[in-house]
Amino acid sequence: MERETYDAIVIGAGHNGMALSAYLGRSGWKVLVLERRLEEGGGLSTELYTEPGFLHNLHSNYHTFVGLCPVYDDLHLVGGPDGVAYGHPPVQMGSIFADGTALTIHTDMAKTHASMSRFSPKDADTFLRLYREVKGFQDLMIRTLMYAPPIDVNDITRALSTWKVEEKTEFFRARLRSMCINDFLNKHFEHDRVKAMLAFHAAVCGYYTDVVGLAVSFPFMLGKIDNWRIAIGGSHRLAHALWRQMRRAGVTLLPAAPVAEILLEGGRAAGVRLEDGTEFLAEKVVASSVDVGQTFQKMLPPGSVPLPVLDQVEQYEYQDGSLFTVHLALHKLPKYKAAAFDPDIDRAWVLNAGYECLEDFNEDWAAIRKGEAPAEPKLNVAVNSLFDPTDAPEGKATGLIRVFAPHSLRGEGPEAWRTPFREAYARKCVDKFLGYCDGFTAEDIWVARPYTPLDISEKLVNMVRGDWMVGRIADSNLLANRPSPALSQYRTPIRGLYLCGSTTHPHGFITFGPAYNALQVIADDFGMDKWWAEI
Amino acid sequence: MPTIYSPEWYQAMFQLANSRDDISRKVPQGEWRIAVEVEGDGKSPYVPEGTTKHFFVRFQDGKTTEYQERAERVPGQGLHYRVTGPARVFEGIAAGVVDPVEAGLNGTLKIRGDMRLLMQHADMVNVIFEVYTQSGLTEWPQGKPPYE
Repeated sequence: MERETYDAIVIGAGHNGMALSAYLGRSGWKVLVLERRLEEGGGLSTELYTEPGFLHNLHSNYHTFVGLCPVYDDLHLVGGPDGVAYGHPPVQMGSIFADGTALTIHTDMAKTHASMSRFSPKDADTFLRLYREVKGFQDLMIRTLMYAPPIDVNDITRALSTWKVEEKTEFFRARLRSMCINDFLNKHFEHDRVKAMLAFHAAVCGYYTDVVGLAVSFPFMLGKIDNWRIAIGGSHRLAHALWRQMRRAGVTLLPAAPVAEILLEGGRAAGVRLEDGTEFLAEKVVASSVDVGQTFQKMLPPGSVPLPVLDQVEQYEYQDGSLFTVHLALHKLPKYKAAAFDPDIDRAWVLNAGYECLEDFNEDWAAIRKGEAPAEPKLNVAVNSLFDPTDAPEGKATGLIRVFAPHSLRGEGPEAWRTPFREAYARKCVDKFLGYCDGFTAEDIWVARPYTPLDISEKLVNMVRGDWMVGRIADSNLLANRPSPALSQYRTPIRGLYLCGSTTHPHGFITFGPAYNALQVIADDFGMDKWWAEI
Repeated sequence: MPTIYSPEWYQAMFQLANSRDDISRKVPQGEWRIAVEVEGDGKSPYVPEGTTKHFFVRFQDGKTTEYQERAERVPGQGLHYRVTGPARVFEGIAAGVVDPVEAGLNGTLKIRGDMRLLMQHADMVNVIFEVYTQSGLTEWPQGKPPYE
């Protein structure tokens, strides 16, 4: 049997696999990308999910690393004829509260300060000091802690101590490593609503507010509270931009090509076999952008992986919860009663409708860990048509309502999301949403179609248990602990086999970090000219 | 004592650094190429406002082996670090009145490159800054920071 040979084979055409292949292709390598699904993009999925003409982002909706992540620049993914047009909503986030008040986060921090001051002038001042402090070192730290293979957290702590960073900053402390985000917010802020707004930002970024150790990440996360970007025409446009770069670089992408096995030769990853029996050979690298479970437990022959590594893979943990979404096709843009308090809330993109205080988050996390969909759904709402008129027919609008929810419902498992509960819970979410609206009723909603945690895990098998972060966000699974100490540097015990997916550092979300960092390691191992590494 | 930014000043500073075994012992071995960009900010009398001084420094196994002032921006390819900031900050550090870590944290001093190595050799960074702030090395004929 004749088998085509490539320099590198990348398993999975999600954003990480696509980005890595484009870099390798531009470096002169002959690269093949194999994708299980019919289309590329992974979580960059935009579909006409409700009605023709209505574009819905089924997974990734918010792109917060534009301008921070080097991949966007290196691969020319933003602007121009080949790149994505990104919108940057002036009112980035908002919270609507039960008493009709609202808090808004703007790209203009003076406006954010003014909005926050209506709840607590002290908190508004604290927020601004925190924001300014973080902005000072954000670029430096993001480049170091996200866009470089991870170092041991003890090295980081020692350096911060040696440089006496604690004496030179107001908010950055080593003891944040033993605190949760709730602790951080309680320590520095006084007003429940302000805390709820900031906790919501963390939660939507995939950071549960009660997980001990995550407070240390919060300041960095806060630095991008004004960087919520929307891909005009849908998130899948970013996949198009990646695909154009891949094509330019001569990369071959095969959809509907599920990998059954990674072929080994003399202990080296030498190629792959597809489920239909077709084999491809890789002379240098096989890079897996799918999760560690699929890579090590399904694709590698039994006995090829050292048992301690297999143990670590088996113990790999995922987030407690997932997302339940109701995608909306709307006859018009919604308006909110809270606009009487703050008119800007009508133009806010990432909208909290339900979380009033930190305890509300705690209740949801507790319910999710028990396998319960929150009885009183608290919503994450985004009406993309406010900023992207191309995503719906003229005069209409698209939107989404999201709720943190478990993948497996207690007593019934994930299959419960196929029962009438799915529609009933969607109705509950919509009713809750309508309760905040002004002059916008059920008649203004043309279609409301749910998309459940089970749908997520079935569509993107990489997102095990519907976990869009593709692994628990906790101290034990971040930096050099992700996915395990032995696998954290993107190399594996199998020579020539690399990891480049979201189970590796930093995590899921459209960060491109796993691909970029795997690239550095591959480049080091093969003595590549790092054309992208312009300092 | 030479004037800041003069070839003699760098020469004196690097001689001092090269004589420090504690630096050459701790610094990661191999070659390190660093660009330094000092931006005239209207405060410093040593760098005219709107202009930038470009420097290139090469370290080999912990010793400074090359120093150049360049007419133009040092190309980014092959560099390990690029340090950019207003002249008053560089001069403030040299005069011992600005804390370099604080300047890095608040973003007035921008450092690009792989910070992991600096973190893993944090005490070496402190020693290098200590050398840079040896006030005895610098003459301030046009005034010493802070300039206010």
